[in-house]
Amino acid sequence: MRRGISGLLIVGIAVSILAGCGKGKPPAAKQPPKEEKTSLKAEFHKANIAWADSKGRPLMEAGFKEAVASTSGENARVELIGVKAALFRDGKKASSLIAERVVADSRTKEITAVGGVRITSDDGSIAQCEKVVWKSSANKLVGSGSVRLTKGNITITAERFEADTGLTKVRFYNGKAQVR
Amino acid sequence: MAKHRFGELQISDFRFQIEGKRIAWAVVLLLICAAVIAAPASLKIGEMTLEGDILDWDGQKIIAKGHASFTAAPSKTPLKVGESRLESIKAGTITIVLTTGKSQKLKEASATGEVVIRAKRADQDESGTKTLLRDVYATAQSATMPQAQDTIKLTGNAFVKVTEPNVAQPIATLSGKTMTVSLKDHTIRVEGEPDKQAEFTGATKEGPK
Repeated sequence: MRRGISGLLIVGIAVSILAGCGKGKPPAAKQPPKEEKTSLKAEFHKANIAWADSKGRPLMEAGFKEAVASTSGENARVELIGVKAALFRDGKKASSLIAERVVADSRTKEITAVGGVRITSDDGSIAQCEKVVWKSSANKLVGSGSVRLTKGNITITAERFEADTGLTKVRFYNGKAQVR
Repeated sequence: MAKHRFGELQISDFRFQIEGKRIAWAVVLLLICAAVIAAPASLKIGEMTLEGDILDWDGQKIIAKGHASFTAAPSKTPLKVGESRLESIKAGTITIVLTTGKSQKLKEASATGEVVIRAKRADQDESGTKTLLRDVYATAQSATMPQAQDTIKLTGNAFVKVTEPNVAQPIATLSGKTMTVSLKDHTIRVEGEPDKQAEFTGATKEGPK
């Protein structure tokens, strides 16, 4: 019973955090600024969350093994562990993401995936790297650390890359493409 | 060494007389053809690597910008007589277009900015008993290689040099404003400029380097 209540709590926090990301700036506080401190923290195991934009279209749907959500002042942050997520563009699924850890931050309005990041596009391109920052509003993925993209007989390695959410156009820095 | 200057040089004969000795023009022309890239039947390109400061990829085209290089992977298969193998292209920018499908192949390539191309070609020696592996070195401001048209065009201070192992002089050099190589009929068209005519230099073998 206690687990169920805490579960509802974390889902509520996570949804509110992510909804805040999608809706832009958080509502301005009329009261004098308070000292920033963690006001709420909750944990949850094995669940799914969905993040929608201001028009209600899906941006990300993620399943995870563990999650920690917290609020600090006006900022909210949710950290997901063992993540499998679908990333959307204009309401349509553009790619899938797997990562050891994903952090959604309402202040930066970015999703950061770290550790064994693997993004698979709908047309079969697979990008792997250590870290990816997804700026959904800009339709931009920025990856770094042992970047490797494969599609069919093509493999591209690089220091970092920038791409759209669906990996249809990718710019690699200090890149090397091999056609086998 | 024989030097010839031309406003416009059209080479299609297969034998040419220089200093009383015959040079196998077929060999020279094919070497030049092989210098660039992608002759459908005779030029071998297997695995390849494209590098650059920036690589832009859209699934079918890769553009390498800044210190761009295209390198063909070394092959264990020896070249047969008449075959050529592209070794490398270096340029400011190199673009390769690939075919569609799961296993993508090279469809066309182009390079701009201080283009340097290296290739090898296998030919028989004059006695017809030994296989010679010749080096082809070409430079230009740009090179375009549309496979479908069976032509290769070098533009802007185009220069081609063919050398042979253990021979001091290049066996042939060509220079001009543009060079267009037809892979279909084995001809090469070299165009000069009003103040800088197209030039051909042929040499007989003069001993070890």
